[in-house]
Amino acid sequence: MKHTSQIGMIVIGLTVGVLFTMQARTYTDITTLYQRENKVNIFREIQVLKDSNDSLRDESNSIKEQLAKGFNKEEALKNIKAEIEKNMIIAGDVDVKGEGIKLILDGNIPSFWFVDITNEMFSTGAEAVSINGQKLADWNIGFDTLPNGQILVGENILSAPYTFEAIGNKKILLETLKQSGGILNRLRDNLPKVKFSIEAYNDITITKAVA
Amino acid sequence: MIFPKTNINSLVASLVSAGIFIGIITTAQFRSEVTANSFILDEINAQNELLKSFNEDRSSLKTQLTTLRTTLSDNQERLKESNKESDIDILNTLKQRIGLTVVRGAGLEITLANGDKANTEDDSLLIHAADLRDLVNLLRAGEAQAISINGQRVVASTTINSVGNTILVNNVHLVSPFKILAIGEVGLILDRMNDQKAYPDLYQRISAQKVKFVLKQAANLIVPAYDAEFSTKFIQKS
Repeated sequence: MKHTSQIGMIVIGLTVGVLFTMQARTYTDITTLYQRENKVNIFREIQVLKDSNDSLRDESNSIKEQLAKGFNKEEALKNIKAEIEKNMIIAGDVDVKGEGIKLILDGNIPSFWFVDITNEMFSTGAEAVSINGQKLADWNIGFDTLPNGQILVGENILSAPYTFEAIGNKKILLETLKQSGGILNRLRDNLPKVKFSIEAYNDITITKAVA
Repeated sequence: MIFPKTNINSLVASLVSAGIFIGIITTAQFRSEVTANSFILDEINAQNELLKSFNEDRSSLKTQLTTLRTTLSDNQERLKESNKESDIDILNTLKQRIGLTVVRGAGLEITLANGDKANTEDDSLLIHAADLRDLVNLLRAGEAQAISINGQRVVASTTINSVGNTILVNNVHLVSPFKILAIGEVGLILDRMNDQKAYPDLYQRISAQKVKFVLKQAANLIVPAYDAEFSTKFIQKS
């Protein structure tokens, strides 16, 4: 009788141990899945891809329309002018405006933060970005920290406070930059002395890029 | 054999503890499977399917856009022949400046790759999106005329981000090794590359041979044209 109850105890113990560990292992697997699939990134990636595909489709449709009109000289010349105007906007050759956000950072900031912040702005759909009035274009977008802490952008020296202006969807730009774990959170964690403010605007004007 | 009551209780407690311990050890040997119909897995699978579908769309849209741009350019060149007063030359110069044309010339070919024993537990052996951003920033500061990463042309609005185990450049998934082409004044670019303060973290890992870095000068590099979109939905001429 005593042996039976002792065997029973061992069986119960084994069963409890097995169940406990199975539960713990299953929980760990789920946690790992969550960590590997970063929800913020995957949702952002889906949104960015969707917007990006819409833009690709729009641009393709616009060219298709131009081609469908056939080889009409007058129409073709008009389209060339429109394309020049669009490309001048992209190249930073003209002053531009639109809704967007203004981010002001005050403090000593290493140049790689400028790289990351502008990358984040473009990732969030910014169509033009300027820092302290200097529009970023293909030829001037390299950042460097000077020995006295100032930032060299192209051939221009920038000093704090740094005002970033971005034209794009102001709601998405504001929410993404401010979100928990986002670029401003990380900036605050790494550079607690840097003061910053960010606001959305209906009308931001960025002047053309100047050497 | 007769045990006193206190001894029996201790024996029972010991046996139960031993049972739990053996149970834990035995079960730990087997990997638990998350049930295939779990909500979390379904959600993740749905997200991955959506991503896959968007990426397939993107690839086909980019091919279509490249073909359409080429056809349009051909038409514009024909127009130039018949109308000397057209602004095709201005348009072509702008296309070159914003990255819509192939660039050929001398420059540097840089190969950056994960370390040999790269794994997810030691981040320092992996190439991160930030490493590529820093390197591209250096090349830009060195006045490179044209840059590409694994065939993706880098333009002003190019974004480089980490997603899972891959890196997105122009929203295209790329994996190590990364071949970076930079056309420009080699001396100027090398000056920037030699400044270890400009990319301290990556420089340290390259020096410690944690990641692979090979730099070659080349006389005839070809950097492809940018094949994605330029969004101008929110922007207009002032």
